[in-house]
Amino acid sequence: MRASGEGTLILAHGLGGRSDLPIPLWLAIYAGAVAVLVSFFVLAALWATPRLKGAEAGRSLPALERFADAAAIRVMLRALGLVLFAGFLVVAWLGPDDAGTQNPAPTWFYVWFWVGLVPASLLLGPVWRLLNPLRPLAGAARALLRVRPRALPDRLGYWPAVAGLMAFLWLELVFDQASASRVVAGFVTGYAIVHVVAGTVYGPRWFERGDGFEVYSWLISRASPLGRRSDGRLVLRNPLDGLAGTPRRPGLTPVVVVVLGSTVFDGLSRTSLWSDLVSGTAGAVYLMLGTAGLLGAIGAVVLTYGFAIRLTRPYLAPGQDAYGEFAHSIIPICIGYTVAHYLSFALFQGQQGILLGNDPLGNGWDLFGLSEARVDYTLLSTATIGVVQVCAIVLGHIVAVTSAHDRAIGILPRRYARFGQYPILAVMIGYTTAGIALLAGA
Amino acid sequence: MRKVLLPLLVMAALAAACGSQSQPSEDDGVPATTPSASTPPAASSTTAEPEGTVIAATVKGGEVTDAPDTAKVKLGEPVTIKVTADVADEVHVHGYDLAEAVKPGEPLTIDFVADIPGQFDVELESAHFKLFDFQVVE
Repeated sequence: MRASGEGTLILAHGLGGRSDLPIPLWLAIYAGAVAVLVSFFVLAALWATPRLKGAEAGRSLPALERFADAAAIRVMLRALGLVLFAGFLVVAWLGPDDAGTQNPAPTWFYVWFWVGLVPASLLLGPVWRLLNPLRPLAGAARALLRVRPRALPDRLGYWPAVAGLMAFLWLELVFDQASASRVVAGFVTGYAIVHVVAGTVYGPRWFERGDGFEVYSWLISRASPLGRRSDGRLVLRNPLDGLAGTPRRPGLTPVVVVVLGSTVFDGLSRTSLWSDLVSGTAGAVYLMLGTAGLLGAIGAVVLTYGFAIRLTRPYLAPGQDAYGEFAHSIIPICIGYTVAHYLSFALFQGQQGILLGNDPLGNGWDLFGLSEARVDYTLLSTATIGVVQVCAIVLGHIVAVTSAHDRAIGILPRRYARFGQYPILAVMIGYTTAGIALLAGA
Repeated sequence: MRKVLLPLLVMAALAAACGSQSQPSEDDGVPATTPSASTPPAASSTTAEPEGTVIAATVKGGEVTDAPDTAKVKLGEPVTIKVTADVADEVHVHGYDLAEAVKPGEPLTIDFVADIPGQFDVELESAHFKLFDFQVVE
């Protein structure tokens, strides 16, 4: 079936070769219109006094809480995280040295872990905190070396997490060898070493603010129906309340902005505009263009969002931190973008995680009897994928706009309640139409 | 409520007007309105010739000539990609992960069945040099 011409058939890089078909223009326009319509509706007709209870909201789930807090469960999850991590490292370092076509490790890393964190955190809360293998490793190092943890300076905010995420995102989105199993092995090992050292020095608190993947999982989990109320109880709640209850910690905005900017770049890099731009470049020039693109996309989000905040600030009381007040409302837009861009990647490339896992070390094993199986590309039709993508972006927009509205009417004086919302609303409409345009213009 | 009705009506009218201009395709949302560049006569997307759809590209002096911007192929059709280049390189069909070396002056043929729906780039691998992309539609 894959007959060749003259040369031998060499399989090149394994991940990310397939793009989604562009959505039809009519769907894009309807979606954009719905987004704009809903925004005006929310502005004009939705509630006039804050309705969300934020961190106070939710119905407690005592049975589930007992289960989740049980020491045995916690230990089991930690052990599971360590075992999976060890297995991953073995396969990444000792499995086939290729570009992800035989070695399952890159698929496990980019699809099951990175993309998988989103639905896992949306459904179950900040799960990575419970599975993160670096925590017990740091704990063991602390115990062995008898180190007492130092206090983590507050002014660091979430910057270490931002740095870690940027490093990962550069790897995933810019580096052209990112699918290679040894590259993935090297990155994960390096990342682990850095964070185990930091976790030894600063204690477990390091991971809450310094580990990019934990912060990412936590950020996504703000929109989860499962969460902790202010009194510590595990509750079932409206995702809007979860978002509203996001602690207003300094330095959260850069995380949100980096996540959004990187997804924008991800979409941008799949357009023909981009592939024409990088066509013909190689090596360092290619990487520089990609880096510029990634930083540019993040910069564009920084500029637009910063501008919106600056326009909103005069309406607020002095001393109120506009950035901190609205950071949570951008999270749903990030989630919508991520679902739209990674859905098919997760569905199709994700299958390779099992198919290749059938023979992870390339020794001719057949662990699951799947040696003849191939990726099933008919799981979802392209039409369904297109509709889900658009719905994710529009839904993310609706949740974002509602979140921002509830917060705004809580902190804006009455007579500026409408004007004060325009800048943020406009910027959100901008992000959403850009997201829809990226889906249509791919 | 009047404050709400007016913007709602305006938006609804705009949406209806825009929507009626671009006709929805007959299939269930299958994209058919992308204004892609015209495909050369040889590479029509629905003829069921024995060798399937042929998409050709020529590379001369660092430029791509005679190639469609975006070729459209039906799912399950056999496809033949023909590349003639004046440099030695590797032609890579993304997604299907087919890669073959091309020699200067010798036309390279890659035959495969388009069994994966989606959009795929075809490049000269060493320079990320995009030849064209093709869409496999259902």
